[in-house]
Order: sequence, then structure tokens, then C-alpha cells
Amino acid sequence: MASPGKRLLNLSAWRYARQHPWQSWLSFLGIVLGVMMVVAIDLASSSADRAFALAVESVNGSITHQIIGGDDGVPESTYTGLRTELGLRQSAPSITGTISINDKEFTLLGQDSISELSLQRQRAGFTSSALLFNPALLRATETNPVLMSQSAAALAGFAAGDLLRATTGANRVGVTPSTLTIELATTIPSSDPIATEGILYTDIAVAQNILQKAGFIDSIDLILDKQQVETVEAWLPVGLSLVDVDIRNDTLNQMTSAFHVNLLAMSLLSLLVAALLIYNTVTLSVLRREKTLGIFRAQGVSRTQIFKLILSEAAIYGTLASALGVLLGYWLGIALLDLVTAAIPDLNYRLNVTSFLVEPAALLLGFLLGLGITLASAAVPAWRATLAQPITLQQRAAHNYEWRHYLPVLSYAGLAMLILGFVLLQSNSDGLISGFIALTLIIFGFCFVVPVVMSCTLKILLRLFSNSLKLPARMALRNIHNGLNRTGMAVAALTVAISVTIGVGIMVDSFRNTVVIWLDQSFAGDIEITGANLTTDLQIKIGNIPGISDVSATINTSVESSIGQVRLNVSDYDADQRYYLKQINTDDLARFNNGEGILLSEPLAWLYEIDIGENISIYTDVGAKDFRVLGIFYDYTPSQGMIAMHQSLYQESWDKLTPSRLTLFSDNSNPEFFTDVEQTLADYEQVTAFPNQQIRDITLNIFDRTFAITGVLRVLAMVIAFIGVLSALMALLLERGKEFATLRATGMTPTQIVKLILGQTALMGIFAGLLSIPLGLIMSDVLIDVINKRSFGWSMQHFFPLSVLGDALVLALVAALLAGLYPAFKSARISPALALREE
Amino acid sequence: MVLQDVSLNIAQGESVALLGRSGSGKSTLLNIISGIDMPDDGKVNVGGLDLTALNEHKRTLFRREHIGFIYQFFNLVPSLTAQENIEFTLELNGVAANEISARVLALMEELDIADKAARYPAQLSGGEQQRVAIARALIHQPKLVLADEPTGNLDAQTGQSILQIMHKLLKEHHGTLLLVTHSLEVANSADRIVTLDNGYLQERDSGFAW
Repeated sequence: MASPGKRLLNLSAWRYARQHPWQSWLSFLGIVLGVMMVVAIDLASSSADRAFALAVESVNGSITHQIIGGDDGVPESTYTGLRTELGLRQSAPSITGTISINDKEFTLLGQDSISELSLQRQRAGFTSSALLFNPALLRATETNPVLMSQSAAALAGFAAGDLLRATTGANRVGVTPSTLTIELATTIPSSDPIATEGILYTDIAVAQNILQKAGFIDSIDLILDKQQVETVEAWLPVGLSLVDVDIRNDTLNQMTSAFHVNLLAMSLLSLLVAALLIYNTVTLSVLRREKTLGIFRAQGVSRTQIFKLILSEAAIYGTLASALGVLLGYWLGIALLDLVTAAIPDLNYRLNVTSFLVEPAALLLGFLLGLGITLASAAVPAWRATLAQPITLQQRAAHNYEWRHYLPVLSYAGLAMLILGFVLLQSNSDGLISGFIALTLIIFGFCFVVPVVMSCTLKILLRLFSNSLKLPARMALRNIHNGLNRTGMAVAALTVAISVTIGVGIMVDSFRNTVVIWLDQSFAGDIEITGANLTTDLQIKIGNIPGISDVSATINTSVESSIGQVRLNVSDYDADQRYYLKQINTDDLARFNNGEGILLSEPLAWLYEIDIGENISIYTDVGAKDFRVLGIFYDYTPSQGMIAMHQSLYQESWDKLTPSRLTLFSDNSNPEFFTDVEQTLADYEQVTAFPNQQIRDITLNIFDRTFAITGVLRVLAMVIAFIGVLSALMALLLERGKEFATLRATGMTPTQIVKLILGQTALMGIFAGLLSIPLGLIMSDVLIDVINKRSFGWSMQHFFPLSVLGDALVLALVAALLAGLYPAFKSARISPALALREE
Repeated sequence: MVLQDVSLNIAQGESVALLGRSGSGKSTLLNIISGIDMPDDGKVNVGGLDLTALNEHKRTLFRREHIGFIYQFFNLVPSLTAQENIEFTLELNGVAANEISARVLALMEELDIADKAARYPAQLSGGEQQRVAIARALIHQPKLVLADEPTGNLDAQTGQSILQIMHKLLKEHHGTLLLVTHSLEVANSADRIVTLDNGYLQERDSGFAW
């Protein structure tokens, strides 16, 4: 049976909402934006993940292993040797690269039909016969014939027979971008349009020509059993590695997922800011209707009915706003997809994710999150509404200060949450989930403490400056203090939003700066030369070029060890000049340089929980040998890590001494230094030189692209917080309408009213700015030390730019002042006569 | 302590004026009789029902069914129209929807405010608002109507008119009234006068001078 009086109770609530539209709309907008962010991030991440999986399947098909090389790839001769010397028939060369047509990027996949026949590879979206021996691919290669799936061609706006201008080499080290014509020879039907989207297929020779990879292939794809794996590893030339495709893709998936969890956590923080906004709005609506609720209570409306009334209002807002948030999230997700895709850490797969994956579960989750958070945020004010006294007991003066009874409880609860959060951080610093829980507890705890901190500070300010401050300034301080139940929450919301900006900003800056240092250390010289044939003769010739002060040789290989197959980096340089060292003492540094031990990359040490002083057994040319770990160095390459060894130690146990990389150092005396090097290399096949600056630029470009999405999220969090402050200020100022009318009646000018209000909002902004700094620093610490470490195994240096302090204050001040403008002008225009007429 | 050993017997259909100075506890007494407030000590017996033995929810139900309130500042729900303000009491008491409208409109006719049915409280004069408040207090035919300074916010002429209407309707509906006022003139409109002084109730003659 329906609750008696429900119809008119609801009608009253509906009319209240209509009479205070700004308040309803701001609350509505807060929920919409919060839900929109969560849904957008979730959908974009899911789509990117699925696209990544499909891309891997489309490119790799059903292979088990790959032989991969250094920067240039694998020399063609290796493939020939593999088939002739080892007789491995289930193998095929492969080339994958990115080309740009009409400013859109596509993946170009080169394959050798005869080899593919032996591999019987099943690529996603096609039957094997559709691609193999396709007449279009067997034509003369002058026109660079390629084929596409019919659906992919239709999506790109291409038709069979089209001649297309393609740009290649835009993002590759050592390659000058060039444009050439390719022909879309034919299109073929596909069983999975999404899997084949954005992929062009061609013959391997054509791919080499288009991608400027003459003489090289990207990988040799293999189907191997366990015994064959050992044979190939033993045979493998220096500089090449055999990798298990599943392990490689698992690692990439793990890293990608972790990054997406990071993004989702950020969007949840925005929802938290929205929750504060909802709490503030519902509290305000309850307070403003206290008299009405009192009348209801006096007439016999029960507390349960009041609770249901307030909660059902919130439910209606929550439902409508969450539904709209889901819809907008869907669109934002499409817009963000490119940014999320950019974070997938592998250059081999250029994802063309135009097919947006809509998961009903993600939509439902976003909707339920929005509704749930709305109801949870409204529950406290709804409960507060049930305490509304019947009208005859209401004493207005008492209400305004009633919240002060809750301040100690609030502060104790906040402190308890903060302590719990910190304890959780200390107790399990490696747990990703516990890291997020700890961060959430700290943020909530901080929000609860904000009103108490403000109260104490305002009291101190009033006591210290009560004589020196002018009356309007004192009034501004007192207004904030007396309205702390609303101003406190508004400041808390702004504090969280700005701390997100600070925390993520410091994290990204720290990460970027660390990567810059790492790049400078790892690519210390001026020119890198890579190739399969870096002979002694070549090294001598290079060393004689004018302007070269030093030539350093590096061997990159992979070795079997007690922790499985790992990459080994051998250099003739001292560790402190070659690696960005994280942990090593002076004695051990000297030992490493003398060839008495090895260094581990941070992800490797973290993954296998290996500490300094422990031994790792590596299978060398003279049998298994134990190597003592002397230190740890930073490494940000997307792999499971590597071991560093000095050349003097390597020479003791391995025969293969041909370097895979030469690093040239310039003394700056020869401006034509790079040209001279290129001229010298012209006599050598399969050897490439490129300036290190190019590597640094490309790496940082990829880094910036990866973290571009965090900028979008930061802006959205700020928008929600801005709405929160605006809502709170509107509430506060409208509530004080009579007070402002009295001030106007007693002779205050509208300009003075505006100044008074803006002074008050500026002070709130300063509070938020100052409070956001410690919270932002805590957040950056958690992001840097816990979440990124757990996600990627990467740790980074903490960089704290002092400008952050200024930025936070300015941002908070500007947001608060902007939010205060409209309420200030509205209050200044209050007609004293009208406002004072009513009781 | 504001009230001490207060006992007041009012017969069905009788009107009693409770006279007292500001702060004498008149309003507190009304709150206690209606179950809105509870005494620090002792019992409250209204119509044979011990309110102190009831929990808050049951006291709310008691108030909903048996009490009608008229306030000095009208206290109409601003977001409901005049008619809806009156209907609300009936809805709360679970009266059938088809019956509500007829009863409310009839009473509004009687109070001469039928033409104001669709107006909101802010669109009504003080006298009109108080008529709506009277209708709201009487519409569910409560055992007891409590009026707290019902003319305190009205001019003398309107106040007099409101008093007359209120008494007339109460007589017609056999309603019992406890009227709180500090005005002897208003008090004289009731059948009986009691004063509240220093926490004690005292019966007065109609010719009593304050």
C-alpha cells in the first residue's frame, strides 16, 4: 500500500526542485560528469584492450615463438640459415609497420606466401587460403600492391584499384619519412571486420620496400616444440632473441591493464568529487526546507516518510543523471579512445580502433555507480532531514550552529581514516588494490578533516586580527565559519580536485624527468650504430673519423638463466656512465667495472624479488656460472627487464664478441660529424646510424602521447569541483539573502556586497589551494611509489617543482572566484525591501 | 521547570483559552499535548491516552489523527497550493481520493476561500493564509485543535474575523479548542480561560483582568 500523503509530499518536493532550478541542475550536472568519466574511461579501455588482442591475433596468428632483433630487426640471412642449417620448416618471416594514408595510420603486414604455407598460420578474420597466393599479391612489385578486407576498405573509404599516397618512417629512429604510391590491388571478405580493421596485407618484399627495411625483417615467426626451442636458442646469432609469444603478449597485456586501472581510479576520484557535490546539494535542499519538513512533522508525517522523500528525490536525480552520464560517457569514450590506445606500450601494433566496443556491463556499472553514489551521498542529509523538529520546536538560530556538534566526530572519523590509510600503505606497499583503498581512505579522511582545519584556522585568524581587520573582512571570515557545513564541503571538493591535478601532475612530471635522465644515461653518446655486422674493421674506421672522441661497443643478446630467458646488455663502459643507477654502493660499483658481478634492471629485480648480494646462475659458453648481483639500475623499456654486465666479465665466459651496437661520442670539433659517419657506413650493408637525440625525441613523444589522457581527466575533475563550489556558494549566499538585504538597507553599496562575497570566496579558494598541496603530495607519493611500481615494476624519482605550489593556489583561487562571481552579483542585486518583507 | 503538575480538562466541543505572558510555557504546553515535545518528568494523558508511554512514531500517528494545529505564522507548505495544503492532512490519514476533494472544497467554500484554491501561500494575504490553516487543522475532524496565537500576525479586524470563523466552524464540527494567546481580548472569545503563570495553571472567570 502506498504511503499516506505520498502524492502531495512528492508534489511538494517536485515544486521545490522547480523553484530552485539552479541547485537541481548543478547537482544533476555533477552526477552526469562523474558518471560520464567513469563510463568513458571504462569503454575506451575495454575497446583498446580488445583491439590490442585482435591486433596481436591478426598479426601473429597461431604461432608460438618469434625471433626478434635489435633496432633494425632480423637480417634476412638469419631466416635462410634457420631453414637451411636447422631445417625448421614451420617458420615464416614477417614485417609489420605503420604507414600513414590521408593522415590516418594503418598497419602494413608483409608476409611470404610460400613460408606461410608451411606455417599454416590462422590469422584473425581470414581463412588462410584467402591471403595465401592471392593473385593480387603475386603481381609485379613496382606498384606496391596491397590488399585489405572489404569492411576495412569500406571504412577507410578505399576501393579496389585505388592508388594511394602513403607516408612511411614517420616515427622510426634512423629513417627519414618518405611518401610513395601503393595500389589497393583487391579487397577480400572477412569473417571478423573488427580484427582486420586498419590492416593492409602485402608480400614481404613489397613491405620491405614500402617500410624501407631492405635486407631486414621484423621477426621470424615460428611454431616450435620444447626441444626445437633449445635448438634455436643455441643456434641464435648474437643480437637476436627468441621470445615466447604468449609471455610477451601477457606482459604487454598486464602493463596495459594496469595503466587502464590507473585511469579508472582517476575517473573514480572525479566521481568522489561529484559525491561531495551531491552531498552538499542534498544537505542544502534539506536545510532550506527545514521549515517545510517541520510543518510536515507537526502534521504527522513520520520520519521514515521524510527519509524516503529525500532519498527518492536523490534517486530520481541519480537515475536521470546517471542515464545521461552513461550516454555522454559513450560519446566521450569514442573521443578518448585514441588517447587510451596511445598508452598501449608496443610500437609494433599501431591500433586503428575505430570500432568502439560497447559493453552493456560497463554501461550498467557506470549507471549503478552513479545511482549508488548519489544515494549514498544523500543518505546522510536524508537522515539529517528525519531529525527535523516539528515546526513548533524549530528555533532558527539553533540550527545554523547545530553542525558544530558533529565537527569533533567528523574530525575523529577523518583522522581514523587517514591513519588507517597510512597504515595500509605501509603494511602492503606492493598491493595495487590495497594502494587504491589506502588512497581512497586518505582522501575521504582528508575531506572530513577539512572543516575542522578551516574552523580552527578561522578562529585563530579572527582572534589574531580581530582588531586590525576591517568589518567586511571580519564578516567574510565569520560567514565562512558560520556556514562551514556548506563551505567546508565545497572547499573539500575543490581540495580533492586540485590535489588530483597536483598528484597526477607530479607523478607525470616525475616519470617524465626520470625517463629523460634514463635516456641521457642509456643513450649517452651522440650517434648510435646498429646492425648485424659491426666488424672490428668498421670500428677502427669509425674511430678514425674526425671529431669522434670515443667509440663504445654494446652487445645485446638473450641468455638462459636460473630465472628463465633474459636479455643481457654488455658494455665496455663504466656502470655510472652507461646506466641510470638506482641502488649500488661505491665498492660494488668498482667491482662491476672490474668485471666482478652484474647489475639487474629494476623491473627484473622486482619481478623475481632478487636483492643485491644474491647470485643468478647464467648459462654461458663455458657452462652455467653464478654471477653476483651488485646493484640495480632503472629501465623503462617495455620488457620484463634485463641484466647488465661489463665487457671484461662477458669475455671470460662467451666467445661471441661482435657488438650489436656502437655508441659514438663527439668532441664537437667536426660539424659534419654525422655526415662523415654515414659516408663511412655506405660501404657496409645492413648497418644503420642515427643520432641519439632522435631516440630521445621519439621516446618523449611516445611518453607524452601515453599520458595525454591524464590531462583530460584532470580538466574534467576541475570542472566538477568548480560546479561544487558554485553550488555551495549559491546556496550559502541565497541563504544569507536577508542578511545582505539588511546590509543594503543599512547603507552598503552593491559593489561593497560584491567585494565582501568575492573576498569570502577568495578565502575559500586559498584554503582549498593550501590544503590541496599536502593531499596532492600524498597522492603523488602513492601513485609513484605504489601504483606505478605495482603496475609496471617501474619506480621513479620524485620531482617536486616549486611551481606546483603557486599553480595550486592560483588554480583554486581562480576556480573559487569564478564560481563566486554569479552569486556575488546576484546577491548585490537583492532588493532590500523585497527580501526583508518576508519573515 | 516551565510546567508543574499541569492538569487541564476540556469537554468535547468546548473552547479554552490559555493565557500567559511571553516565556510562561504556553507553547511548550501545546507541544506536549500534541506529543511533539515530551516532559522531562511525569506523564502526559490526552483523552485517556498516555503519550509518554508511546514511542515517537506512535505519537506521530496520534498527532496525525487526533490533533489539528493553527499557528501564528500560518506555516503553510510553500510548495503546495491552498487546496493541496488542506488535502494533505486527509491524504496523510488515508482518506479516499474521491472523498478528499469534495470535503476540502466544501470547507473552503465555508471559509470563503474556494476561489483561492489554486493559489500558493505566497500569493495569499495573511488572513487568507490563516483561513487555509484553519481548514487544514479542521478538515480531518480532530479531537483537539491547538491554536497558538492564531491572530498574532494579523491586524485587529482580520484577527477578529478569523476568530469568529474559527469558533463557528469548531461549533459546527463539535471541535475542541485549546487557544493559546497573550491577548485578553482573544481569550475572551473562548468558553473558558485558564492562565499559565510560573508553571501552574489557574482557572479564571470570564471577567478576569490580566
